Amino acid sequence: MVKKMSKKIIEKNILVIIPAYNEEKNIVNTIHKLQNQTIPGIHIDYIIINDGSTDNTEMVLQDNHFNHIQLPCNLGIGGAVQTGYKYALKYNYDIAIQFDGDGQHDPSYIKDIITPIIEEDYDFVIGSRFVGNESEFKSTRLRRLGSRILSCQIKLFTGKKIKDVTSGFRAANKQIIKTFANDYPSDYPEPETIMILLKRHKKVKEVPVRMHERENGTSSIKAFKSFYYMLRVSIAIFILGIGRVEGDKDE
Amino acid sequence: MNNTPLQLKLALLALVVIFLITIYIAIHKKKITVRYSVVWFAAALAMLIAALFTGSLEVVAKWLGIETVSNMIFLGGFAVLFIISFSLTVIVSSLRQRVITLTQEVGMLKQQVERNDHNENKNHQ
Repeated sequence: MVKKMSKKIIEKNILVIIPAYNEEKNIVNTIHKLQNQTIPGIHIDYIIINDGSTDNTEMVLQDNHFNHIQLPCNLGIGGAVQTGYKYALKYNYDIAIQFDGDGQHDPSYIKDIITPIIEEDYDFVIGSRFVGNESEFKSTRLRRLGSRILSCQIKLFTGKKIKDVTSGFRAANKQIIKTFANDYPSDYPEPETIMILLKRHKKVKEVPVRMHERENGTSSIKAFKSFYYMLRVSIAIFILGIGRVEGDKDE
Repeated sequence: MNNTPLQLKLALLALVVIFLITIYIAIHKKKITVRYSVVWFAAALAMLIAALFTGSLEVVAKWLGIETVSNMIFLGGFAVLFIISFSLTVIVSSLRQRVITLTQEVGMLKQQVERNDHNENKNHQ
């Protein structure tokens, strides 16, 4: 229960969206670490989106009574994360955080990632490996190169430099929750969403975070499937880039 | 001008008839809906015209500056197939989007139902 405090702190409700596909080995650890995080004045809930896992993820989630949504079939990362945004919209959360279920992200940075939204009026905050020196793990050379190319493409079209365009650790304010609940790219959503937001002149900030290597199993972007990935994301960025900004209905 | 042998004409007509029957059976057995059969009926009609009026096709080919009728038919057939497969991609994309939305809604409903059951059990205890 929320205690009425004399101070003018308005309690913020935050939802951590955790997409999980075949994460039976990592998910328990991730949730326990997350549950140990407490931030004063902030109420943190989480929702796990079990994206049609084929292993025992669903059983693990049920046995531990974790709050989760089981998708009847696999939608891919975009569809899974969007489910989280829909949930956040339905239950009227102030901020939604995307957080990987595989142990890559460190919950102690949640405070850093939401502070710009609460205190500086930012719309969207990206936890970045390439800003500051927090993260020793900066991915492989090939991935870094791909990331840099996409980053340059986004700068070309929007004039804004976002260094870690593929980061899946990000926070969105209420308005962006609504935007993403209604429309979210389905395949390789990270760079594309940045493009969508920058084209609509949203305030996007990068904050340094530490990321770990995956604890168990392999990432969903196996070996980066480099060329095909780059091609598809580039097409998406290009189309958004030359397109006119769609009117924001909620503005 | 019309120098198409009768055998070829008959063979083409037979092909069109088989094609039409196939479409009819597919609709009848609900393998395809009427909505998506239109384009195939149009294709059958085009084949029928091509089979019956070979002579006029030659006139059209000459007018377009295409040397032989067969070249024109290949070009036309290619264009039609191109359009059909593109429209199929459009249809698949929209279906995919709908499946995603439905899956998300089902997942969210299920979560809500389970939550309600869980709370009810708690209250009963």
